[in-house]
Amino acid sequence: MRRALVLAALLSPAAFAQVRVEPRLLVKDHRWFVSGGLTWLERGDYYNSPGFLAQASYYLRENDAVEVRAIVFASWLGSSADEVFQNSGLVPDAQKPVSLLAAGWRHSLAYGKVTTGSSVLHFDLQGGADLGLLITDRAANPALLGFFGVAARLGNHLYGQFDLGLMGSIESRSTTVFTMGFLPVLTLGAAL
Amino acid sequence: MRCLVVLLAVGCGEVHFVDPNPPELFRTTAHIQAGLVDEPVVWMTILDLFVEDAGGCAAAKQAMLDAVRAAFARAGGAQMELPFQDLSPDCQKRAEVPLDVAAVKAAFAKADANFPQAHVRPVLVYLDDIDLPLPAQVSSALQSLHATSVAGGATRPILWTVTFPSASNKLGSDSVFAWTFTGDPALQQNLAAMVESNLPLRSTTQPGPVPLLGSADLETTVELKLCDPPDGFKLVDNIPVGQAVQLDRANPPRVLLNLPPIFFDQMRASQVIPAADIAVERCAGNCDRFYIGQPGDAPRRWDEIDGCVLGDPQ
Repeated sequence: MRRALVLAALLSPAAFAQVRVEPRLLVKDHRWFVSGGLTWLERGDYYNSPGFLAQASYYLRENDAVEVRAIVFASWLGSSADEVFQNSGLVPDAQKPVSLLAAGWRHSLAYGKVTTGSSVLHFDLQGGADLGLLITDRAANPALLGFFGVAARLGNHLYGQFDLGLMGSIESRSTTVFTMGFLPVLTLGAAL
Repeated sequence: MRCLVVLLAVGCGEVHFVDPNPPELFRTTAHIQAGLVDEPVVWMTILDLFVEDAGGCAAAKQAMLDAVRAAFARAGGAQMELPFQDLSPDCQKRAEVPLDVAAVKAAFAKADANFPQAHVRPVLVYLDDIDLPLPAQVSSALQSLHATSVAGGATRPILWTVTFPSASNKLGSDSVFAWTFTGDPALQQNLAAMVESNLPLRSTTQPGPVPLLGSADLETTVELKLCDPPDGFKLVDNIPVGQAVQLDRANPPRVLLNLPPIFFDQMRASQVIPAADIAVERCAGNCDRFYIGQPGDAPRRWDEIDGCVLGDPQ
């Protein structure tokens, strides 16, 4: 009886399939991840604010990193506000974003792999928070950034990253207000 | 919660449109105070003395006249003593001679004429040393004189009595001094103190026209508005209230205090000199640009707004 059960197990379909375990390739522990890319700050302030950024993360362990970001915005007045300005000379009281300097913490929430045709994409779901300064045409305002995103391995040392950030800052307009806005970030970088 | 809802759409943090070059506004106050002028001191002594020893009559009268004169001398300034009235020439019978109301009024008129620019308000000093009610004719004559109009109807005389209470009752005196005895230094001191604290009388004068702006403000102001002037003020140069006017530095705007004259007859310490503050809103630049009072208010061009927009400075 016992022999019969062992034989049945050896003859099951799984036993006939080729089982292949893809090793974890997006290894981050004690490595630098340096990247640059594009962003867009959208906070309903009548400004179009695309930006260029550079960021660096150092993983203290596999799932936790400290990071710094520097963003330079190329802001200009949106068409609706520009029309108001042309007609009346009035401008929004929002401050024009110039740059963002931030530092914070990044955490890997989950590691995943997905088959794309003949290759396998390794990625990390990540979240984190940064504190920094949103520098505008009038002031340097304290800013808080929270984000979720994905970092994907694109090659031996190449990786891409997309974060969807939510940024809040305190800003002096006609009155002092707490502003919030979206900050999606797309970067391409190298793992060192 | 609202912020979160807005955030889901476009972000949040209220944005209002503002003028990058708003009008440069300032609120200043022109303090205008009435002037004060000393009026001439005009007085008359009315004697009604009884002296038991007729031989001392002249000396007693002279002593009292001297006491009154010495007291009034303390007032300083322009003075005029009107001829005294003596109702008891030989000091033997009270009110032996009736008070010559016509002569007193004539003296008032003479004083008036002597100080044509002033508002003469004579002080009548009635001295009586009998502790009995006043004879009716004296009482009525004094009351008649007390009610007489002088200075063209602008004032009436002041009545001070130096008597016993039985005599001063119901006389309506402005001040009463208790009679003691002839030549009493305390009585003279009381009179002198009264003179010092009340005389000379003072009245207000027109202070204007007064410039609305000081010299420093005049340099920087481009346009101005007059904000709700208080009652009793008349404007010269036809500045419309609440309307923006271009500043003509060659003819700076002025206001004229338009108050009826006030004659003070109270103690000096209680005198409140009429004064008023006139608020002016100055614009030092961008006067035709938009003024937005509160975030979200409709923008309005300052020079088209009827009235001042800045609140009182705290």
